[in-house]
Amino acid sequence: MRRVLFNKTIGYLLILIAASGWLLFLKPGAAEPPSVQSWWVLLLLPLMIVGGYLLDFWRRWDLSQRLKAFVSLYLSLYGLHLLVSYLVQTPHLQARVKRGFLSLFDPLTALLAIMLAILFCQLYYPPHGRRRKFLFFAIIGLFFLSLAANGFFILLVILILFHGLKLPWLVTVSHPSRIKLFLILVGFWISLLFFPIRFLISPQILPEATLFLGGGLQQLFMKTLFVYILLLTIRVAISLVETSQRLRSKTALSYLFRAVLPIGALIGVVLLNYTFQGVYFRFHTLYQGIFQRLDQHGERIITGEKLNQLIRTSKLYGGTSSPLNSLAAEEERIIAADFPGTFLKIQLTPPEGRPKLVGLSPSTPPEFRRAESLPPWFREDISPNFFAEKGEKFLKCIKSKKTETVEVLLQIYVPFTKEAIEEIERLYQVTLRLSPSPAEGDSATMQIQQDAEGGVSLSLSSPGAFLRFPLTIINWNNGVTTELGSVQLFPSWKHVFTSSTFDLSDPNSYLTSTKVFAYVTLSIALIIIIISSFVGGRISKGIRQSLHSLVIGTKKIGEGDLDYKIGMKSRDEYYNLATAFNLMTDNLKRYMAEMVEKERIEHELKTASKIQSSILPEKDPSLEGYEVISYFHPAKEVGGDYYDYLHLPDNRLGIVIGDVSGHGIAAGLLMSMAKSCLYNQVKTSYRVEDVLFAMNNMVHELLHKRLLMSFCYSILDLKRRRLTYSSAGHHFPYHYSASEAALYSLESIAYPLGVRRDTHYKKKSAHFKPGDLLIFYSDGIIETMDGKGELFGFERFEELIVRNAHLAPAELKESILRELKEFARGTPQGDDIAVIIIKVK
Amino acid sequence: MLEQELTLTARKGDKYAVIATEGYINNPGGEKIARRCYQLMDEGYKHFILNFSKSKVINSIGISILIEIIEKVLELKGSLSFCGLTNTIAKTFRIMGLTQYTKIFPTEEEAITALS
Repeated sequence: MRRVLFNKTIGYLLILIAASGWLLFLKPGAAEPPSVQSWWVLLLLPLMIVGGYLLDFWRRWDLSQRLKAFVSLYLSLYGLHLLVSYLVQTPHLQARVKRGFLSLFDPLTALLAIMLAILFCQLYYPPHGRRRKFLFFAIIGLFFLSLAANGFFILLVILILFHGLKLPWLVTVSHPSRIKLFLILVGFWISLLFFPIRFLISPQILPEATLFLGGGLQQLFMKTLFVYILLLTIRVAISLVETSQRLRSKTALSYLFRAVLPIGALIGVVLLNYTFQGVYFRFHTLYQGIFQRLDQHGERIITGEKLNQLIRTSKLYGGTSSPLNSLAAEEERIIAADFPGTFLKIQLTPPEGRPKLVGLSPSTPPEFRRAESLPPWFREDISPNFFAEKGEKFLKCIKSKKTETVEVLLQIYVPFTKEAIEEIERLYQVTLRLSPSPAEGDSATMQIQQDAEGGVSLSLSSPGAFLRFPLTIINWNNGVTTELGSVQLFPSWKHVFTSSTFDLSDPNSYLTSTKVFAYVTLSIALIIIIISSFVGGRISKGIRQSLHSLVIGTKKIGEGDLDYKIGMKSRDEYYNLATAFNLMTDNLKRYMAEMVEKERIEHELKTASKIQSSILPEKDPSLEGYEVISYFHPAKEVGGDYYDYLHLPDNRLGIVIGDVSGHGIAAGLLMSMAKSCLYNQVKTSYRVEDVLFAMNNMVHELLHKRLLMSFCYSILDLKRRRLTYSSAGHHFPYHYSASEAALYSLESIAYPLGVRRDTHYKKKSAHFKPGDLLIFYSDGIIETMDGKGELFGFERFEELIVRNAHLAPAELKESILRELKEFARGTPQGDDIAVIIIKVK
Repeated sequence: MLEQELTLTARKGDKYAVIATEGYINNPGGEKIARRCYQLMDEGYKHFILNFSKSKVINSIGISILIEIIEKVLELKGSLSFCGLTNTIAKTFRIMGLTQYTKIFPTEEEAITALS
């Protein structure tokens, strides 16, 4: 005990020293990955190994427990890292802590971690075979190798968790507990509806950690957690279904998972894509429609005859821009019908040496009233578009043209105003809300701010919005494209279904988006189908297996294998049926065993009955001056009672009656031996005391513990009417004196035969007169019981004898039997009944 | 009623122990009494009073077990008394020779008084 404690203490100390040294070797704040500085870490490896070896608690765990523990260790370490990163505010310390934890996942330190893991798992522990050890090595190794490959990593985690998530406790916990857990998980998934899943999968909200290994461990962690909870949910759902107590609900769920859900998913995908395409089409036409219309205006102006005429006229070069201004004013009026607030600028750049001419529409703000060149990043194909310029946002169309004499630059500005948005909504029948043009009510709002450098930032609040499409804006100064915001579309079903005439003329932007959406939704649907098919398959497999088990069980029972037990995991009606089946086989088995036992007993009793019938006298003796009659009825087929007559010399009759405690073949055999012993003894000496002495010793030898034999032996001198008798624990014979009309009990108190060896029994004697009765009997008469448990008893028997003493022995016997029958009233006979009645004539 | 399983309570006095039974004294019933008696003998008791006032029926094997107990008590030079016997049981005990070595009292109190 003390040695174990010592080992553990040393083990913990070594690991602590190694871990501290490991952290100390890391240079906090260094830009390089920890591995570069962590070569020294390897030197600490032996310490770790020895420390881990001394902590051998792991040995008690099985392989799956170790795997689960390993994954849990990994997850908890990273969770701890995130927590510490939140809590530790000092950058220096934070960096140190981070590096400490993160170095766990560094390739070189990963090696250390693998060694630790192997150490923890104590794979050299004998119970596991070489194959399983190899498998475990492979899994752990792949785990670390795949840290850099997200997809593979996830796949691996799924494999590990599928192995680990068998979760036997889900089977052992109660059904209400499973339901509670399932409801918690359902709550989790519902909560995801209010918390975009993309934050979970790609958690920008989490503190950023600079990692050598791809920088994606946060995502990996969250993805792992996500997959873990998903699998747990599936497992709990399966467990719930498997242990469901209603076959009907199971069948319904099976159909739900195998048919309804996949079909629903497919229909959902089709509808979703159809909706998306319809809506996207509207957006597309909206987006493109605005641009096209503006582009048409630009094209009309730049190719217009009026502008060409102006270019051709010589006075244009005279330096006045009045004609251009007039043209711009005229065009502004035309365009404003489509785009309220529009202003435009027409710039002519003559050959070198001459001033530029700028034509401005009347609404042109002062800061735009000067000539300018196109920025170098500009390409014709990005116009028209949204541009941020001079602190404002515009939908802008830029057209340029180069003739032999002049370069023409046309810029049409459509300010992003409330009026413009309303006009777009009116024209395209959509709800478009861009702040700052707030509308009352429940529409989505979009906050667009522009910072000092001209960059645009966006914040979005979208009560009730369910479709969002991006709008981009280009910074005019540098050409950088940022997100302007998004368009919230609230199409009605009518719009969706009437927008089915897609414009396929612009496949690039439109089809790309819809294709991506289709792929994503199809992939999700496929996952749902696979999972639901798997779950549904498990359910129906469970039902099939239950039915199969029942069929097998029935066959086995039919073949006579009553030891076969039908195993059933579920708790449904099949389980009840299987339980009933198992109970039935148990009962059948017991019944058959009872039948066999009964047959055996019956056979034994028949054999014993034959023995007894050969022991008891075939008939009563016919004696001059005496009338003798006997009666015997066993309680079972073979009783323990024995009676006999011995014809002795000198006109004497020996009368014997006895009772062996117990019944059946053993009692019958003892009687047989007693008879043999008696007959042998009588040949030597038939004296009462000699016979009882010999019989007692014989029974003492033969009978085992707690088996006794009561025995009454008497000699009737027929001539002298004198009875010499002695009783060994047997009921005293009755002597009815006719002359005195009195009943005497011929008492002789002694233990039954077989209690003590070499017991001497005293003899007694009695004299008879004509008309007297001598009655020997066994305890069956006295112990005859009525339905209430009351015994017939001595008093009743004595009273019966006295009352019927005048009768002939045969009649007396009949009256005794009749009264016993009346007394018992159908209560089964508990003991043998034997009676000998002798009447002196 | 016949199959009523025997229950017993043992009350220990200074030098004696009273075992009161209820139910049929057959093989298992007799076994119970014997086991309890032997336990008490191991504890040093030699004098026993068996109160059968709630046992109305006894069969031959039950009696043979009682004889066995009597023999053990006699070996220890102790005593065994019966009380609360029905007339039939009392007479049966007499017939079977049990009264040669035991005493029968109508009540438990009388049996205790006789011991002290």
